[in-house]
Amino acid sequence: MYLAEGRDKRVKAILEVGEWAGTVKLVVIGSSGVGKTALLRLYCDHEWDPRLATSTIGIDFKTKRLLVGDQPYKVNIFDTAGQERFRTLSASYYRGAHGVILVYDITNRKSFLDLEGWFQEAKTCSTEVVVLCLVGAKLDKAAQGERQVSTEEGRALAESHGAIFYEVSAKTGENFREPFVGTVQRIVGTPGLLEAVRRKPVPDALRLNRGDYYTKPIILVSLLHCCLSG
Amino acid sequence: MEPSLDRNTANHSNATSTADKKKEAVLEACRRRDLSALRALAESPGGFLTDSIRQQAWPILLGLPPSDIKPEADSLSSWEFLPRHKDEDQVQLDVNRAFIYYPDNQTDSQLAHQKSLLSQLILSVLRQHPYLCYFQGYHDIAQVLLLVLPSSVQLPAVTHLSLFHIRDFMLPSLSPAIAQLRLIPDILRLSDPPLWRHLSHTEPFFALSGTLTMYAHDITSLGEIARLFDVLLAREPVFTVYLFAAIVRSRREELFDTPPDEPEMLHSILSKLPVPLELEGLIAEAVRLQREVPPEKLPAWKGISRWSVLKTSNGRGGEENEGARSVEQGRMYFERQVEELRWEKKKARARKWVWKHRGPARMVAVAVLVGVLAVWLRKGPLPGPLVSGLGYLSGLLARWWR
Ligand SMILES: Nc1nc2c(ncn2[C@@H]2O[C@H](COP(=O)(O)OP(=O)(O)OP(=O)(O)O)[C@@H](O)[C@H]2O)c(=O)[nH]1
Ligand SMILES: [Mg+2]
Repeated sequence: MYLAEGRDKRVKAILEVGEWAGTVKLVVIGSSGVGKTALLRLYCDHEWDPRLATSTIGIDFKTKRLLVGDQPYKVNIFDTAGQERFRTLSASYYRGAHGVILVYDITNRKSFLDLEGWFQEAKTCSTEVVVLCLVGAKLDKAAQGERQVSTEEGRALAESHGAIFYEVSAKTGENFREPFVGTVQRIVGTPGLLEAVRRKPVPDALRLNRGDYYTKPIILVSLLHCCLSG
Repeated sequence: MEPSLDRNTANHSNATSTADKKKEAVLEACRRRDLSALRALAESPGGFLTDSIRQQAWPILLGLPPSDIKPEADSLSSWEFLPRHKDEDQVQLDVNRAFIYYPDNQTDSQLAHQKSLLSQLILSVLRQHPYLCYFQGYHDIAQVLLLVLPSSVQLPAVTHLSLFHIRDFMLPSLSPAIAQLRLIPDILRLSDPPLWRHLSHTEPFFALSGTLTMYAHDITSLGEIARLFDVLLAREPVFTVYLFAAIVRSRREELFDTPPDEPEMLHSILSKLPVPLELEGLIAEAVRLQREVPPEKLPAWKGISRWSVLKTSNGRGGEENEGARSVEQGRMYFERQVEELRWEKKKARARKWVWKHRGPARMVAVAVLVGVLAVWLRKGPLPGPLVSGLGYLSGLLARWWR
């Protein structure tokens, strides 16, 4: 599949007018400090400055235009906070997501081990057909001998979950586009995925702080319980 | 040329004299520990004006007992010998990414020194109060106090702030923080229905980093965040929420330009503060909003725990110990809230269980009902009206069930 990023002037004009072949929604998850925000900053804002790195609180949102073939897509990307306590919010940002990008730090074994939980979350919170992409970040640090997770291990884990796999560096820019481009390409190439997600209603169990779906049965059962024991 | 110059200097001296007067008023209010006077001064344009006045006023607003405000109080001693706190790794990750926007022009070694002070400050609070949970963004708040207050009061100041302003955010779960966010749509619904309708598909999570960090994560100038802290510390904690509602309202036009069915775009607009930030106008508007639609009028207020900072911060005015608050009391509230959360969790689990087994549960319920009826009927003939009444009731029950 041919792919370019707004190089062609004519295409650029189309992109600016805002006629999209579709909107793709991606969610980026992974433990705190692995480099999610740095990667997104580079990809969406063409910026790399470690002195400007700040922690993400809750959810951040960025948007990017991307061509797949000659079709312009709008890519909405959610950057999430790595700290465990913010996972309460997960349900709300997975709603309608087509792809999940899971990031770990190749110089931090713990962030790799944490992936089990992240894969679990990605699978329970999103639609069955969602496209997964595993990213090993901070590839530049491998040259200083800081690597704690081998490429093979990363690839094997990705394969076992049916995910695409890349190792990237936000510092050198190596491979930084590939995870996004690869994921969107696969989403667009999966027949029906873009439409299916839009139609699929949010499972009740994922709704947050909303309504009392279960109170009626509870009242009934406790009433019965009272009657029987009383 | 000349007259205008004259006017300028006159203006200038006027301004300095009002500033001097205000300064005097703040210091006088501090001497009397007069919280309501401080509050009025904090709300007026410019707040407490300078950091040296803030150093007098903030400790009083935070409810530090006078003994903690003495310059010789040894604050950071001995934290190193206390057991590690479970969140220390996260603290490190965040402190590494602190001091982004201010102070200016620091050398690398100055920056490293600041970071180590910040880390010590946060770790000493956490180690002395191991029950508190650290959250990403707490470091942004601590950073402001570190830069404004003298080192002797930093530790008690951050401790009191943790227990009486942001305690809800330091609980084991994020849900009390989310319960606070739910007040924002309610404020909008009562004060600006068209805007509320426009945002009705957007979750209020855009306000998370603003409210969680008292705007310290989002405001990029030390002067502005210090001025804002004047009023946030002087007023009840719920004011942060009203301030966010005021910010949302100040962006009406921009929001109406974005279709309501694009919650992502609306979220993205609202999650960044407007530039430039008209702080004084927003503060005044938030004060007005809180008067117009007080918290008790908001339906989501019922969803706030009675042990929340939002509901336990009143009535601390001057009476006992000149407005000082004890750490023990904060801890007691905290533990009540933890208890409550545990109970909520159990209830949620029970709900889930019942829901999962709703098929069998329904059958069991019907079987039990029939059994009870049968036993009852065997005890002797029931009067006709009772039987038909029971029939009617079970009919109702069946309809309600569906
Ligand atoms: N050498 C190197 N450092 C990186 C790279 N990417 C990120 N970093 C650094 O790693 C630190 C954390 O990066 P962030 O992007 O803020 O991490 P995050 O995953 O967004 O973390 P949370 O927001 O806390 O979930 C920052 O200090 C970055 O400068 C990389 O590719 N190479
Ligand atoms: Mg981040």
